[in-house]
Amino acid sequence: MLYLFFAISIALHTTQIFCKTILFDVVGDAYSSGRIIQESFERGITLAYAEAVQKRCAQFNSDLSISIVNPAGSQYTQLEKAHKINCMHADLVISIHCYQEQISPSLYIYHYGYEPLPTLNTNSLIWCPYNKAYTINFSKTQIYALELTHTLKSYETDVSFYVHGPFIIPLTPLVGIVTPALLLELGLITEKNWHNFVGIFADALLKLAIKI
Amino acid sequence: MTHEKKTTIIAFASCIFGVLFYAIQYEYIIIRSSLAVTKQQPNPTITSRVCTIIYHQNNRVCFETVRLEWPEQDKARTVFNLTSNFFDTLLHEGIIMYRISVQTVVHDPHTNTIYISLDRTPFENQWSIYKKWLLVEDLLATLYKNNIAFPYVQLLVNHQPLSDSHLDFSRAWPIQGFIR
Repeated sequence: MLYLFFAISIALHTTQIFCKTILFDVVGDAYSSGRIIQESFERGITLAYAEAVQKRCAQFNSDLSISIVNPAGSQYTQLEKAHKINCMHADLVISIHCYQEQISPSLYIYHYGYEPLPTLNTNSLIWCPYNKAYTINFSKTQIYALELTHTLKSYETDVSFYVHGPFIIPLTPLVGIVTPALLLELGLITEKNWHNFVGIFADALLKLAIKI
Repeated sequence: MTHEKKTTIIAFASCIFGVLFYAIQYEYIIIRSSLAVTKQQPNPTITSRVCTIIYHQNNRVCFETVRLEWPEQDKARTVFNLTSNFFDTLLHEGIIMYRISVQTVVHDPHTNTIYISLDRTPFENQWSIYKKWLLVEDLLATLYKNNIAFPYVQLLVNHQPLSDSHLDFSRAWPIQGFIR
């Protein structure tokens, strides 16, 4: 009995160590639908895209847990969403956006940053304003952004699209998030174009999850 | 002197004083004093200067030179002229669809921030984050290249912080921008 108890606790402990959590933040909510891509709304496309990537990742890696922060029917303000994300203690947050591209499919990667670059001492107990929340995990975010961009750029030759970034700018969807957070913007020619990005993005995430 | 006479003199003097005070108050009488004369400010020197407007079109950086009024002392006025011309150029080139007017430009000497208030958001709903970002970078580059020596620029719409669903303008942007 004692042996079984220790075996279960060791199993739970190992699961906690190796299980990674990634959160997807899709555009808009129940009341705002985002930009228009042909005859679809950005909200619907990003939600479908996030679910497709989630499904594909679950097929290949059961230790990688992907959740959608704002599923259908939810409504949050930016700071409410940031608070929810911070409480979930995930390893990475990816905010997914898309827009109507005219020339060629593109993929942009951003993360939050502001001049001068942060030198926050995270060991001390200090109040951190919400617009400086990104400073707590800034170096980790930079590493993840570079890693993801590098992996996605390696697919550029196989699939006809261009990867740009990572760019560091102040971004509204990432305000107040302490967890390392990236923003992904897909430039789609047609509303069905997002299917081309599912496989490559899922593969890039699986590769990144190993290094998180 | 009788008591009645005294009262009459005081009443008459008070009446005269009251009339005089009223006349001065409502500027029927103007008193000119050598102490009250203020020194006249010398007229600010306004020169014209060739400025460069920077913008992106078809993924290329474009430069356009314009001749602008350049008040040497009034930096806020200079920023007003440059920003107005920047948005006029964008409208002329078809980058923006609607005319954007600059309402006010104010300089805060404590934070060294220049506040530029516009009458509407400069971004279209369908624009990508990158396109929005480039427009702001172009405005900042135009100010920076024309020697506007303020380290931070805060964009406002109708004197309120510019609210955008993608770019965060809750804090002033550095004039050198974020392009590396």
